[in-house]
Amino acid sequence: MSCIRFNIHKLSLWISIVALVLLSTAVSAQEGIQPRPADSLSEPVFAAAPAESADDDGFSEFDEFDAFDEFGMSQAPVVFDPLSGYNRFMTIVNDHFYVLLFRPLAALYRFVVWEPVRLAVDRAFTNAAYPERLVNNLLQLKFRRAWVETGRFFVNTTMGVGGLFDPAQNRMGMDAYPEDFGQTLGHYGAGNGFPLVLPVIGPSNLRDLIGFGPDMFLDYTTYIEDWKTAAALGAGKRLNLMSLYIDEYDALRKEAIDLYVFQRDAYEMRRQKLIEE
Amino acid sequence: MKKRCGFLMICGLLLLVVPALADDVNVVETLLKDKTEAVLTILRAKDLGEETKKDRIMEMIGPIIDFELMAKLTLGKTNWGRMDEKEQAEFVDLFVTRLKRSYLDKSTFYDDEKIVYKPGVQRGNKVHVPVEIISKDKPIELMYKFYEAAGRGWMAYDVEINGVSLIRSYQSQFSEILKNGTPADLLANLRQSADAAAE
Repeated sequence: MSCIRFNIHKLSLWISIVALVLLSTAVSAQEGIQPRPADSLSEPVFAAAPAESADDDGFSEFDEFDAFDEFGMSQAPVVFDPLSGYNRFMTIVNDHFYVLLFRPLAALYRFVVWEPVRLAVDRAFTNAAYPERLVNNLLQLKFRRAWVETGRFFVNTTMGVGGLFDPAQNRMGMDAYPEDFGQTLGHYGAGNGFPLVLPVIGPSNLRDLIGFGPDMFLDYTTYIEDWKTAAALGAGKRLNLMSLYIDEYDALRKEAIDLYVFQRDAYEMRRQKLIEE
Repeated sequence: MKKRCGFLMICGLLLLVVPALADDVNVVETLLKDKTEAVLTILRAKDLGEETKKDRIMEMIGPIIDFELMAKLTLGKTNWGRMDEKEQAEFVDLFVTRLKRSYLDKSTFYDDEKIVYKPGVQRGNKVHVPVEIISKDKPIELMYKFYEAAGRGWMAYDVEINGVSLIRSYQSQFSEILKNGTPADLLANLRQSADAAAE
């Protein structure tokens, strides 16, 4: 194996997860739980129109609901969610993992390590993910953004000491333009497929799960031969990020009336905005 | 940078062409900015207790947030129609209390962050104003949405946080409950979480 400088385990894991998801969806569709036409993949989750539709309503006859039709008031939002049973289950599992394991770990780490250090670590991890941003900006023909990202990478890797600091933003005003393959698919009109809660990672959807595959080739940890090192880097990145947002996440978690529905829709709205940008 | 210039130019042109519309945008931008600065001043005051701060903030922003409309919008026309008047009144009451508490709890996170006001956008007869909170490197993008309420001036009816609309996220959670449940179930659920929060 030592001659192959590519971690094949990640790729095979991804392929088996995608296959499993598609298979179980096919089974649940056949059982008639959620019969839907085959073209449902290309439909967006939110049947309601985006905010742009707000400019044609008139206040001549003030009906509160008609005047705010941007929320799709006339009917409840239609969500294609064939794996909702599994998704709900995995949301509960993830929430327990968070409360019992990840939150205490992240809180301990937050207590020990000074916040500016954790912010710098996060910047370095983000900087190292430059190939993903470059390729996906190029795939979406956003050439200026790809160029700015390239500039950011070189400035921050050198002057910013391996990405620990962000002089490109702070001194030169170069904004970051993160993109991933899920966004690239969305950019070319792919719908979300259906919501999917991934173990440990949390809310996602079929499109973004598929997007993980191509992005894997652009992720440096994939090329680290020792899987333990690669896994440790991945886990460290997430733990560090989580430690920065414990309070915010706790507030949202406490506020949700239905944690699964809340996370599912918040994820979709957020991704939709990122795709539109 | 280029994009921003282009955007400003378009805004400038709009200012010349449609003064009436631009007036609305200006009014809302100023309103939002004044209120935000006032809230920040209260949050930063060192001699005030937590509860006093919360009361003063609500006095400050209460008049420009249409809480009741927001309550109705989160239910939607169909589900609102399923409730009788008594249920509607209780729902509005529970939801407004919840929304106020949630706003006040969260506002304490952001007392010394930098705030960037961006040019507002006219959308039909509504005005949307984007605001950025610079916090921990990553900006939080807010979008305040205002409409002109008859006799009460401009009032906010929704806010998006990084693209996540407050109204919409409550809407789908409520409609999930009402899909299989009754309005009474929803009210019981809200009452329960209100009690839990009050403890």
